[in-house]
Formats: sequence, structure tokens, C-alpha cells
Amino acid sequence: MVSLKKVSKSFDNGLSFAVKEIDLDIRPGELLVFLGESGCGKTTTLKTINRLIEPTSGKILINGEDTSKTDPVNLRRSIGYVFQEIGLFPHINIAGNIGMVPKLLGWPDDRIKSRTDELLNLVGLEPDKYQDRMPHELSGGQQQRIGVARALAAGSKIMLMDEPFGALDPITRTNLIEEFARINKELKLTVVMVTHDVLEALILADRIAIMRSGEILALGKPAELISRPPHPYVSELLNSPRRQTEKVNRIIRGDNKNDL
Amino acid sequence: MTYSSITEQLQLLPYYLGSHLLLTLLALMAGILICVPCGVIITRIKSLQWPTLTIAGILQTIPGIALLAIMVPLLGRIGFLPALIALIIYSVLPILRNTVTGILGVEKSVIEAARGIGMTDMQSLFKVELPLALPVIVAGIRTAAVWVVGTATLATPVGATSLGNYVFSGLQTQNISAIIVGCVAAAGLAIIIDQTIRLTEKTVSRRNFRLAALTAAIILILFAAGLSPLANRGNFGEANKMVVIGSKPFTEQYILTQLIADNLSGNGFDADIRSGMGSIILFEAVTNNEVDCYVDYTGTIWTYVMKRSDLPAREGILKEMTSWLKKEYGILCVGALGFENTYALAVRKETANLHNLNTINDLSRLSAGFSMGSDYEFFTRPEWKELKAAYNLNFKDLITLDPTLMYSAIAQKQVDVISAYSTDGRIVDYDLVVLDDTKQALPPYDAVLLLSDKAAKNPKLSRSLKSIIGEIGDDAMRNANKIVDVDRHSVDSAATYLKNLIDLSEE
Repeated sequence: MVSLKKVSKSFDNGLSFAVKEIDLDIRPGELLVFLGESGCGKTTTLKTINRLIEPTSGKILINGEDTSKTDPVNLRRSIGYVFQEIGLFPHINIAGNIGMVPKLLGWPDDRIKSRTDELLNLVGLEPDKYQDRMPHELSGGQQQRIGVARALAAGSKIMLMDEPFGALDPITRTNLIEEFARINKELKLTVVMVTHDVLEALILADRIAIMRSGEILALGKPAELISRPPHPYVSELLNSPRRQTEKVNRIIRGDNKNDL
Repeated sequence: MTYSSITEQLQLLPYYLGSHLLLTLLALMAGILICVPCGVIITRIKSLQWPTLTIAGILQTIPGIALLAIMVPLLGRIGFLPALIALIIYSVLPILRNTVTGILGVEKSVIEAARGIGMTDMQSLFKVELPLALPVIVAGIRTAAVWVVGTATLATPVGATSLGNYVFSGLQTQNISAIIVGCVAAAGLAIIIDQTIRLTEKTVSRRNFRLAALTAAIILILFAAGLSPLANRGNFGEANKMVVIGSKPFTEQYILTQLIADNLSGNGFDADIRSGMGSIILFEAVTNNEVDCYVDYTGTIWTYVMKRSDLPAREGILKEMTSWLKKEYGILCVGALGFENTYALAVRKETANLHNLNTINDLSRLSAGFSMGSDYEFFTRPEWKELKAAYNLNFKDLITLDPTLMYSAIAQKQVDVISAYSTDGRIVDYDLVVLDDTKQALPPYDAVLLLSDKAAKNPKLSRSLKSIIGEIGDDAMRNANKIVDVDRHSVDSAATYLKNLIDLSEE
């Protein structure tokens, strides 16, 4: 559905590359996670898909169509995007934020209204209670639910998510991850998500692309990558939550902290 | 300051306030229409930011009165237009800077979201960046509004009517009521405009239609208020009946202007007074037909405009000047009013007695120990050069003062010699001695009534004004000046005093 063909990006005229010759096919209905540390090129790769960043070389096909030949504005309207900083428009109320893309697409008001209600229900916020509120009146978790609803508003089947749960506190985060998994199952979206959170990747991903220094180091289903890591870095990265859990268990058992 | 003197001033308020309001509103609107788009453009083209904001900053450092003054030679005309353009320039910096700051201050994540969901550049600008920058932009507009209202008071010397007419004439004639009315009105206007802008911002950001209607009504009322006095006075159908009278910034001129205005309204004309203009600006305005009528002095035209340094007899100068003005500019000299207002060097009586001073010649040996005070113009005029050379004057200090303050400066011994005006009532009041110009270094300064080329073509106008020609003697003018400067009565009452004198002599 989304294919990256030898996509590279340099921000300094070819001296160095943030993304190096990425080849990747994302299948319809799949949730693919780019996992890696900050600066590994995962967000840059994500942004080339809807041309927020233009690749230096290589091309991207969506449903077989070369994106560089389409209008970037129309392309972005057809792809949902959820931002780490959420990025709701602070001067526009909730209904207006969710209905923004349909409005840009010229939908009639009553259709926008019913779509907004539908999406508020989908993300678990009562339309009557929330539609007229301003973004700052909502909690962080509620704001990102609106962020997801906004990305879904125009009915796009592809969704890009840039560390969507990164700015949330742990409890909100866990709830929202579960909720998103439910929504995704319901709508059968094709999702490309960027995260540095291993647990999040393991829970949500159909496949994980582990990135380091602008390259995909490993690509596979979570279970495969853990059981047969193709690279020591992969095993170290993917086992980090388990090591943390073991530490936590020892603390719970009352072992001396100095021995940890 | 009395109740009646305040009410007297308040009668002028609609015209002054209306003109001030119109000037301010137009300058501000033009400022917004120019600077907000420019500000938006330079947020898009980063390389323009520094030069644009620097130039705007430099323009802002030019003193308001200098900016206004420089517009007159640049545009070659006086009045509303140069004042308007100077004020527009004055509004640039705060609006431009706040537009740029406001837009650049919008959170990057919000702008990225706008792009990311598929807004075009224009949609991002109008739906996201401008609405979010609005409070900062409006703050800039409010700053500009207050500056423009304040600076517009300085438009008076370039011939645009404003609340500054109160302040300038009040300062010259020591009329505290006028100054207070002018200041309070300007402050009040600044508050009203500032609050209207605030209301407009609220309306826009809340999309409240009732508020919008209210704001629109207020703005319309303000505009109507600005236009109404002009409409009243304009008499567009009978433009030839409207006479613009100019005056220089001192008491005698204010009185004579009022006298001429009264005379003209008595003869069915509408008179518009542009008071407090500089000598050269005023002369140019008459050559351009922007001012129809004013009183000048033969010596000033002779040395300053004709650039002559020879000095024929008094009648000769008047005659030659009259034909020269007609030939060069079509200006009609209706005639001499009857008095002479010459520059006269004056000293305190005790100084005169102590050093036995009678003539300017007696001063030459003492000048190195004396300091001299004079008005804004004298030291830069050719007459001063002549005088200095003729009597070998070398004062220890030359101090430029407001004419009003010149007299208190000599009384308080801060200066020893001043260039007084011979018709000034304060010479007697401050007990000063005028030193004789035995070498006749200074030209005669007969007051003459001049009409512009256009005004001269209206025979009824010159006929009406003939009645004051030759009717005002030295004593009459000095008394009239004394009524204002010493007795602190209004300019109107001094003008009435002269009018009564003229009427008596006619009977």
C-alpha cells in the first residue's frame, strides 16, 4: 500500500545522510512501527511519506502512485497525521479542530457535524459535552484523543503517527494505547508509527522496523525479532523492557537496592 | 484661567477634534493596510527581516516634528497630505514589528500541524498564524494609535489643523485654557481610539456579531465625527468663498488672523485659519495657493525671500517688493497695515543705565561680556548677519528661546540682550530699553497684507480687506499685543479691540 524505494534524505547537500536508501513495503491494514533512539532518522522517514520532508533521492508509492507527482496539499489531506506535540489549533474549539480537514475539503456543514459527533464517540468523548470546548480546557490524554479524531476525520485509510503517546503520563498513555489498538482493529487502518518506546512498539506493532543511523537494521514481527534477533543491538533494545521488569520484581521482593 | 475662557476654547473643539480625528484614523488605517501585509511578507522572506525592521526603527528615531517638517519640501505642499504621510511613517514600526513578532511567535508545533493535515500556505496564514498572532499585532496597532494621536498635535506648524492648534497658540499667547483643552482632548481621543481597537480585537477573536455591530457603529461614528466639521466648512458648492488665512507662530499674527477672519465672515466669506506656521512654509503655501491670505513684513520678504542686502528707503522697499511679488508669484500686496514690527535689540533698564547704552553701537564694545537670547528664526536670518557685521557684535553666548520665554529670560538675568519685536507690549511691561539701530542695519518691517494669485483674482475679497489697510498704527498693535501677552485676555478680545478702533476711524 505504501512503498518506500531507496529513500534518502540529506539536510546538508549530501555531506551526511539522515536517512539512507530505505526500502520498505507497508502492507494494507498493517501497523508498522519505526523503532529507534532519537536521531536515528525514524521521524524523517515518516515525514517523507506525506512530503512534510521531501526526500533527496528515491521515491514513495502510495497505492502504486508516485507521491512526488501528486499535489502535496492533497496528499496530506488524504493521509491522517498524529503529532507528538498534539498540535491542536488553540484558537479553535474541539469540533472545529476535528472538522478542519473535511472543511478544507469542502464538505457541507451537516456532514462535518455528523462526522465530528461520530469521531468524538469513537474516541470516547461525549459530543455534547466536548464539541464546544477549547483545546486548553482538555487534559493531555483527551487532547491526543482529539488529535487522533482529527487525523481520522476525512476517512483516510492511512495514518502517520509521530510518537503519538510520547507526551502523556504513564497511566493515560497505557489507556490510550489500548484504546487506539481497539480503534485500529475496528477501522482496519494502515498505520506507520514512530516511537522510541520499546514496550509500545511490542504491544501495537504488526511489524517493527528497527532503525539506527538512518538505516533499517532489522524488520520483522515482534516475536520473531525477539526470538531470533538478527543483530546484537536488536536483542539489546528489545530486551530492555524485560530487564527493567526484572529489576522492578527484585525491588518488590525486597532485595538490597545496592545489588541491582 | 476662567470658566468663560474654557468655554471660549471649547467652541473651537469640533473643528480641531474632527480634523485631528480624521488625520489620525486615516494614518492608522493606511499604516495597518501597509504594515500588516509587509510584516507577513517578511516573515516568509527571512532575508528581508533585518533591513526592513532596521529602516523602520531608524524612521522612528526621527523626531515627530522633524518628520512632519521634512514632508513639506519633499511634497512641495503644506497641510493635510504631508501631515498624513508623516503620521503613516510614524505608525510603521510598532505595527510592522509586532506583526513579525506575533507571527514568528506562533508555536512551531501548531504550524507543523497545519501543514501536516494539509493546509496550504495561505490557509495556514489566515486560519492559524494570523488569528494566533492577532493579540500581538493588535498591541502594536494600539501603540501606533497612541503615538499617532500624540504626534498629530505637531501637524499644526505644517498647516494641518489638529488639536495642536490649541497647544501651539496657547503656548504663544500664554493661554492656559487653550493648552489644557488641547491636552485633555488629545488624551481623551487616544483613550477612545485605543479602546475601540481593543473592542475590534475582541469582536474578531470571539466572532460575536452583536459586538461586531457595536464596533462597526463606533468606528462609523468616529469617521463621521472626523468628516462632519470639514463638510460643514467645506461648502463644496461654493469653494471660491472659502478663504484660508495663514499665520506665523506669535501673538500679533494670531490677533491679525482673527481680525481678518472676522472681517471676511462679516463680508460673506468662510474663513479657515491655519495658525502657527513657519515663515518659509507659509510663504511657499501662498505661492502654491494653499493659503489665500496672510500678513508678512516687508523686511522679511526683502532679505529672506528676495535675498536683497541693499537697503533703500522704507517706501521704496514696499513699492519694489509689491511689484516683485506680483511679477514672480502673482501675489497681491493689498497694502501696508500701518504699523512696523521690527526686530529691536533690547536690554534691561538697569543694564542700560549702568553702561550708558542708547544705541546698538554702544553695545559693540560690551558684547563679549553679554549673552543674547532670540527666537527660533533670528540667528539664522540674513538680517542677523548684517547686524553683527555692521556693529561688530560678538556675544559670549547666543541662546535660542521660545519668544514667550525670551522676556522672562531677560527679566531673570539669564540673558542680557534680546531681539524683541518692536510692537511687543512686553517691552514696556518688563521695563526694557530698545537700542537704536543708528546705522540702519535692519530693514524696515512694515506689516503688509498679501493675497495669493488665486485669491487676488477675487475682487470682492481684496475689496473687503481694504478696510483694514493703513488703519493699525504702532500703538494700536502694541496695545492689542499687550491685551493678550500682558493682560492675559483672549486673542478674540484683542482682535475686537482692533476692529473697534478701525470702525471708529471710519465713522
